[in-house]
Amino acid sequence: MVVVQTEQLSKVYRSGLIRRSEVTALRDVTVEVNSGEIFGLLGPNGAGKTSLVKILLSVSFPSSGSATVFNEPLGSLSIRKRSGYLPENHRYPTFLSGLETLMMFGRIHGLESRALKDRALALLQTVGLKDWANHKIKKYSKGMLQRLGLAQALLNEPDVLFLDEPTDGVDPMGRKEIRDLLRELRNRGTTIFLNSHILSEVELICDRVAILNKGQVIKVGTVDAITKKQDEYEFHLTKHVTKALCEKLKKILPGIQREGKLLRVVAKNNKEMNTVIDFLRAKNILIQSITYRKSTLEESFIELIKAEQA
Amino acid sequence: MRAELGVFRYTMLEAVRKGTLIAYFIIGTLIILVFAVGIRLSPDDAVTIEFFGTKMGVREIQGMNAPDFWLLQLYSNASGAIMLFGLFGTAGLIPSFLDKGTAELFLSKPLSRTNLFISRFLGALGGISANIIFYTVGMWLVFGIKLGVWSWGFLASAFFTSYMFACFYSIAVLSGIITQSTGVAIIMGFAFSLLSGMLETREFILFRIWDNPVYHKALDVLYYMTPQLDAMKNSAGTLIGKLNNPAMRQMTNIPEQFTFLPYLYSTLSAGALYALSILYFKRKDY
Repeated sequence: MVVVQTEQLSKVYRSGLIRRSEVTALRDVTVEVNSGEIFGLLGPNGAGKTSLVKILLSVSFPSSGSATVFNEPLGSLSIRKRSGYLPENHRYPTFLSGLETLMMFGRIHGLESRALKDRALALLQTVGLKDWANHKIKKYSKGMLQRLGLAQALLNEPDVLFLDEPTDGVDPMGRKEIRDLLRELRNRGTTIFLNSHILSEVELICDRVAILNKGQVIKVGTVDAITKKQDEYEFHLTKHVTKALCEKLKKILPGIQREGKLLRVVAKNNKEMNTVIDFLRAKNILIQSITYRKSTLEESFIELIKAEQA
Repeated sequence: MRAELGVFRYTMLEAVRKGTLIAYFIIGTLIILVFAVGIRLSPDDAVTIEFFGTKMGVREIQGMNAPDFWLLQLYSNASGAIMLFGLFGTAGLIPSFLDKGTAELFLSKPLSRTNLFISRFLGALGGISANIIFYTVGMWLVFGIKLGVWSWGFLASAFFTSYMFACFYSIAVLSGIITQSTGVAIIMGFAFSLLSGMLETREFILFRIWDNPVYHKALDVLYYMTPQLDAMKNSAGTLIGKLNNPAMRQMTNIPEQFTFLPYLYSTLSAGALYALSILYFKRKDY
């Protein structure tokens, strides 16, 4: 089931009364987010990631195109009833404590007061802020505010969670805890829409990602599909390939690299692949597996952005 | 409705925690206490009012009972001060929830922008009204208990002053929502309070500056298109005490009878300003 669907969504910000200026934040964005997946939206600063989330939650309005969340058109209150949102650079009222903040936003979410306090305390425990529940949030660190923001986004037990840079300012332990929490939420069926520029984290938890550049989607797919290197394979062998053997192989197929029991091969077709396999088998080297060579998400991301800019 | 109540409650809390309304509450309490301790009827004749032992007046002042005259002065001075103090205390409440990082939190909640705006406005108004009611009821009790004067008109002035503030606040709200600046909202509110006073007496000052019928008409239009603060204040004043002396009436600009007309005009103009604010708020990207 598709939870979020956008169709040719565009957003142009206009400013200035006399000297009008325009900034295109989104250009014909078409994406789909499926139920129960963690969907990552990646992109350099100013790519339009935050604009897209704001439009989905009616904080901003699209200039053209359409979108639905739970098959409801944008602006529908039921979308916001079923959504949780952690905005980037959120600011909570500093005169409230962590517990008061959650109680206040819970009430604004329309939650019942009786159950709300228990829920707020449980969430503070989940995000590791139980001991800070009654401290004024002006005393909170950046990481603690992020955790509080996450608890706030989870108050209504949302079906879809929009997170804009959720681990910004959080220490490595905290990041891991947040990742674990997001995985747990996904396992319980929550759909998660994650905006982040910390690609190593996205790689660890996202099922699918979309890469946005200058307001346009340049790639959508699973992390595996995006990080897969075309025509590059990794041969996992039972024993080391000697340097001499590797040199012989390079004469047949240049671009071969060895690394212990691993052999990296660039093969453009099946014939070239089979040549390597035959060579290894002839030398009595057993092949355990052959996989596509993968780059990190960061490498793929940079390659895609550079290609787009070129 | 729960969400709207949540915003209302939060706004009141914000106004209180920022300290301004607490300061007003303390000031109001001190004024009430000063009168509670200092005012009494002279034990000699049971007619003369004494204020900390000093004889302040007899039963009749300018054709009006002295206690009524005092209450009218208290109402008149306090309502002017309340407009300005109220402006300082609440002007920031609209821009503050539109700040980057805060607006997203409110706008992503399941309530319409219109309801969010109205709840926020009512929260701000509620904070000021609570102070007005506290001050008015306190003074009403002091005058009732100490002087035996139970002025229902003065008690009713709590409602009229709150209503007057609601109309006046429309200027600060519209300025605040467009510019997202507390400073601009205060300046615009303050400037309007000056303009409103000048428009009320335009025949005596502004008309004499330039004897041009188009200019006079423009001032008339402006007067009827904006909340009529002084006219509302003076009309409600008649419920407290009627000045029988025509010269005094002309000097204080208090009409002979209570009239709803300034309230009607102000409701229409403030309503239009609030409608504009909502329209702008509903269409703005945050």
